[in-house]
Amino acid sequence: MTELLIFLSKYIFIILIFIFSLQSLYLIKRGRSDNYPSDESTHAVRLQRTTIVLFHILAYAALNFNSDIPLKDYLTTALGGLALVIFMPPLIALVYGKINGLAINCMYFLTDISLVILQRLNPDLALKQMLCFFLGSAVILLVYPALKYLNNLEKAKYFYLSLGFILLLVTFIFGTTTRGATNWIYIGSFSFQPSEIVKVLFVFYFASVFCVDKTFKETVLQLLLGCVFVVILVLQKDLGSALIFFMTMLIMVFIATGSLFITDSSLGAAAVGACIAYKLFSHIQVRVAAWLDPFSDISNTTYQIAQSLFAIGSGGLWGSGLGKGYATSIPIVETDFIFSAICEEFGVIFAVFIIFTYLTLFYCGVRSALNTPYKFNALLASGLTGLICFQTFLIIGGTTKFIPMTGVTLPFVSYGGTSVVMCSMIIGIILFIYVPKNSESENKLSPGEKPKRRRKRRTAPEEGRIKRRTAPGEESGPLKNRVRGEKQ
Amino acid sequence: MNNNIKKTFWVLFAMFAALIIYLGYFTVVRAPEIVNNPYNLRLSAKEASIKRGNIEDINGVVIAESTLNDEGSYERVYNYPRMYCHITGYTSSGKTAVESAYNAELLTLHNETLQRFLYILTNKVFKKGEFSLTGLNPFETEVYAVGDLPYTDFDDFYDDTASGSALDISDEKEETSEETTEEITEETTDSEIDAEIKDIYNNLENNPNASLDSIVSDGYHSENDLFAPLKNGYVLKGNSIVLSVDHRIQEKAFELLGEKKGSIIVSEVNTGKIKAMVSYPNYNPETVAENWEYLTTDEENTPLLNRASQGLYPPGSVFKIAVAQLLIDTNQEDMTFYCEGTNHFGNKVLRCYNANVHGSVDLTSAFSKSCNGYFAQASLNLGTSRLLTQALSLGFNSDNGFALEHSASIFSLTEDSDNSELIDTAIGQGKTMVTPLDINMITAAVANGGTMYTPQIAEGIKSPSGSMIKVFSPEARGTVMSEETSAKIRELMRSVVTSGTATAAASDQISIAGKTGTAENGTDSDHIWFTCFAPYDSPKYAVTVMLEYAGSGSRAVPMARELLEYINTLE
Repeated sequence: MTELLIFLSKYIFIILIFIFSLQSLYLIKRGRSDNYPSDESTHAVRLQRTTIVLFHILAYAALNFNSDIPLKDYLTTALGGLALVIFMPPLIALVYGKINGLAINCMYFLTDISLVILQRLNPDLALKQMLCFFLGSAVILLVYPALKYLNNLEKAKYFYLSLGFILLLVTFIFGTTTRGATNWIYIGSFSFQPSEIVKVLFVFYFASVFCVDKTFKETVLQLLLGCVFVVILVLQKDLGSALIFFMTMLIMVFIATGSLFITDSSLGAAAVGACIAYKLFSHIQVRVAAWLDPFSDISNTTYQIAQSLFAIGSGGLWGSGLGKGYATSIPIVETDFIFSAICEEFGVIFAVFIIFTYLTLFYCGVRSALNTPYKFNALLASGLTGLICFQTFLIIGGTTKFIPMTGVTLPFVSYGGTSVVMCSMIIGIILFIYVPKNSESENKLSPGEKPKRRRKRRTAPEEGRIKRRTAPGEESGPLKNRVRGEKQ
Repeated sequence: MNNNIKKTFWVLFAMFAALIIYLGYFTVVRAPEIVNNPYNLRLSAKEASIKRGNIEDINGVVIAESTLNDEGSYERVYNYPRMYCHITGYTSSGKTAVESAYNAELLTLHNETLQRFLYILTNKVFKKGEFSLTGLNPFETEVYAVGDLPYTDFDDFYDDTASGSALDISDEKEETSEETTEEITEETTDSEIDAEIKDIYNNLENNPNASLDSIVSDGYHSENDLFAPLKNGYVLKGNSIVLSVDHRIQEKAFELLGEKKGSIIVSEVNTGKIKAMVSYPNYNPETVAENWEYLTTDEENTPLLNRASQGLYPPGSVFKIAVAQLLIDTNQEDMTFYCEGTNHFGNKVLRCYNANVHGSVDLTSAFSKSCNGYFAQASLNLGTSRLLTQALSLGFNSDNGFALEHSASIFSLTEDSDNSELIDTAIGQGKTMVTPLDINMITAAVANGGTMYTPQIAEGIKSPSGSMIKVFSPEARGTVMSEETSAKIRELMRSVVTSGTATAAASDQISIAGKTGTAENGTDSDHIWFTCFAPYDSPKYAVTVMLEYAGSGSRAVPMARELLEYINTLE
C-alpha cells in the first residue's frame, strides 16, 4: 500500500505546486489592479500556506515509508521544518505587512523543498539547513527594525566599499580552497562564504553611488572599480561569483543611467575578458569542453555534468518518486547539483514550477523597485533582485547544460548557511522596500495628472516632503530620510 | 528609471523562458538516448527488475528470451545457442551483438507508466503469493511481499510464523480446509516446519523478485483461489527485437556450414536485410561466463569473432567484379588479352590458377574463367588512381554502418604503389582485405541495379503484447554503379555459372549468377570465396560463402546452390 502511496505522491506534489503557482498568478494580477488591495487576498495567501504545509507533511510521510531510517531519528527536522513553515510566514507578514504575503510564501515554499530534498539526500545536512533557515528567518525579522531606524544608509558608500574590499582580500589571503575555488573562511569548525556577503555589500555600494546622477566619466570609473573586484574573484577561481558580480554591476549601471552605449561596450569588454580568461585558465577550458560534449570524458572531467544529465533524463517529466531515484549518485548534489536531484525525483514538470516560483519571487523584487519613489531603494531592490535572479539562472542553466557549469548555490534550496542567511536578508530588504502601487500616501493628485508619472517626476519640494510621511494604509516604511530632491 | 528596470528584467525573464523551453526539449527529446550509457548506474538496477524482451526472427520464432530462475532473478535463455550466437551475442560478462546494440530497446517498457502502475497494484498492494498452511484467501492472510519484510530478526519472524499470527489464520476458514490442516498436523513435524520457515525467510530476504509461490511447495496451496490472476503479480516486460533473419534459412545455412571454418551470409538485394548469417567456429552464449578464459584466449579458433562481419581476408578473384566494373565504366570492356597460363608483366610473373592457359580471352571469358593475366593487364591499363577511386566508391576504407560488430574493408593501394602491387590488388591479393559482409553488399548492389545498402539485422521493435511499435526501414548508402553497368556485370556473373568456374552452381530450380574466388593466404590451403545472387532474371537474394583454409575441392559453390534451392522452396 505504501508503494502505491509513493507512486501517487509524485503526482500529488505536482498538483500542490500547481495550485501554489495558480495562486501566485492570481495574487500578481490582484496586485497590479488599480484598487488598493487592502486585504491582499488573504484567502489566496492562506491557500498557498496550506499547500506548503501539505507538501511538507506528504513529503515527510513518503520519506518515512521509503527509507530505512526510523522516524525518530529525523523527527527534529520534520517537526522543526513543519513549525518553520506554519509559524514563520504569518509572523513575517505581521511585521512587513500583508501585502508581502506572496513573496514570503514563495520563499518558504522553496525553503520547504530544500528541507525535503536534503532530508532525502543527507539527513544530517537537513538538520543543519533547518537551523540555518531559523537563523535566516530571524535575520529577516531583524532587517525591519534595522532599516527603519538606521538613517542615511545611502550615504555610507565608503563603508560598504571598504568592508567588501577587506572581506575579499581576507578571503584571498587567508581563505581555504575547496574544489578549486578559494572562497571559504573557516573559523574553528564554522565556515562561511564571504563572497556571498561581498556581493550584497557591493549592491549597497553601487546603489549609494548611483542614487545621485553621475557623469559619464564617473560612471566608467565606478565600473572599473567594480572590475577590480571581478578580477580578484577570478584570481580566486570563483568564476561564478565573478560573473554574478559583473552582471549585477552592469544591471545596476544600466538601470541608473539607461545608457545602451555603456552597457553594450561593457558587454563587449566582458566578452573579450572572457576569451582571454578562457585562453589563460585551463579550468575554464575544461568547463566549456564539458558543456559542449558532456560524454567525451565521462570518467574524469565531464563526470559531474554527465551524471547530472543522467539524473534529469531518468526522472523524466513526472519524476521517479521521492527516495526512488539514484540522486545520491550525482556528485556535489547537496549544493551545486541539487536542482538535478529535484528534477530526478520530483520530475521536470515540478522543476519548471519551481523556476516559476523563483520568477514570482523576482517579480516581487522588481515590483518593489518599480513602486518605490526613492532612487536608492529602487537601485537597491533591483540590484539585489538582479543578483539572485542571475545567480539562479547561472546554476540552473549550468546543471542542465544550458550554459557551462559554474559553482554557485541555488538560493534557498542549496545547502549552505551563508547563502541562506544572505538571501533571507535580501528578501527582508525587498519586503521592506515594497510599497503598493497606489498607496494612500500618493493620493493628492493634481487634475489631469496620473499617479505613476507624478510619482516619478515630482520635484516640487514641499509636495514631496508631505508625501513622504507614512500614511495610515501603508504597512511598511520606506528607507527614511532621503536627501531631498534625489528622487527618481 | 522604471523603464530601465522593466527592460532589464524582461531580458532576464526571457532568458529563463529559454531555459524552460530547453529543459522541456531535453527531457522529452534528448533524454531517452542519453540515459542509456554504461556510466549511468540506474541501468543495472533497471535491468534486474525488468523482464528483458525477446529476440525473435521475422516470423516470430523466439531465439532468445528471459525467464525467472529458481533464485528469483532473470536469466537469458537461448533456444538455438550456437546457430545464432554471433547474431544475438551474449549477456553475461558484458554484452555483444544484438544484446548490446539493442540493449536500450530490450529494456524499454512500452506504456511505462501503465506497466508500473499495474506492477505496484498487483505486487505490492494486493500481496503477491500465497503462503498459507490452510489455503486461505490472501486478502485475509497477512503475507509479506518482499521489500516489506518487517522482520529484521529471524527469531521474531519464526515466532510469528510458527504461532500463526503472521498468517492471521482465522477460525472461520478452518472448516473448509480441514483436510489440509489435518494433513499438516499429521505429516509434518516441528523440525520440518522449522526448516521450511527458515528457508522461506532466507528466500524472502535475498530476492527482490521472488514470488512466494515459487518458494512454497505446492502441497500448501489452496485450490479455491479466486484471486490467482492478481496474485501472480504483473511482470514488467521490455520490448522485443524482431530480426530480419528467417529462421528456416538460418537453420539451413548453419547445417550447410557445419564445422567448416568460415561464414555464410544471405541478404535481400533490394533492402540490405540479412536473412541469415552464420560463422564457425561458434560458441554457446549461455555458458560464456564459465568458458570465458578459453573463449577469449583461443587464438586459433577465435570463437567469439563473427567472421561474416568482422573477419578480414584477401578477396582473391571476387575483386575482379570491381575491376570489371571499372573496365565497363571506362568503355574498355572490349579489351582482349592472350593468356599463356604464366604471364609476364615486366619483372612480375603471374600464374593463372593451376597455370591454366586460357588463350585469347575477352572480358566475358576472362571473368568466367577467372583469368588473372587478363585482369592484371586491365589494371595496368586502368592505372592506380582509377582503381583507388573505384574501391573507395564501393565502400572500402569506410564504415558500412552495420549495427553489430564489424570491420571496415581495407584498400591500401596508394598513388605511390608500384605496378606489382597494382597487379596483385587487381587479382585480389596484395594488401587488400575484405569482410564477407562487404562482399555480400557489393554483390547485392550489382544484383539490384547499383544501389549499395546498409546491412540491416533488425526488422523492428515489438511490444510485449505483440504489436510492432517501430519498423526499421532500409537505408541506401548510395549508388555505386549505373543500371547498365550492373546489368553487364550480372551477365558476366551468369557466365561464371553457365560456363565458368562455378558450374557446380548450375541448378534447374533456380538460376544463379556469381563469382568464385581463391585467395592465397601463405599456406597450402587457400581461402575459398563464392559470392552470388539469384534468381538471375529478377534477383532477390545475395549469398556469400567464405571458407577459410579450404583449398580446392571445397564445397563453397555447391553450398550456395543448395542454400538457394532451399530458399526457393520456401517462397
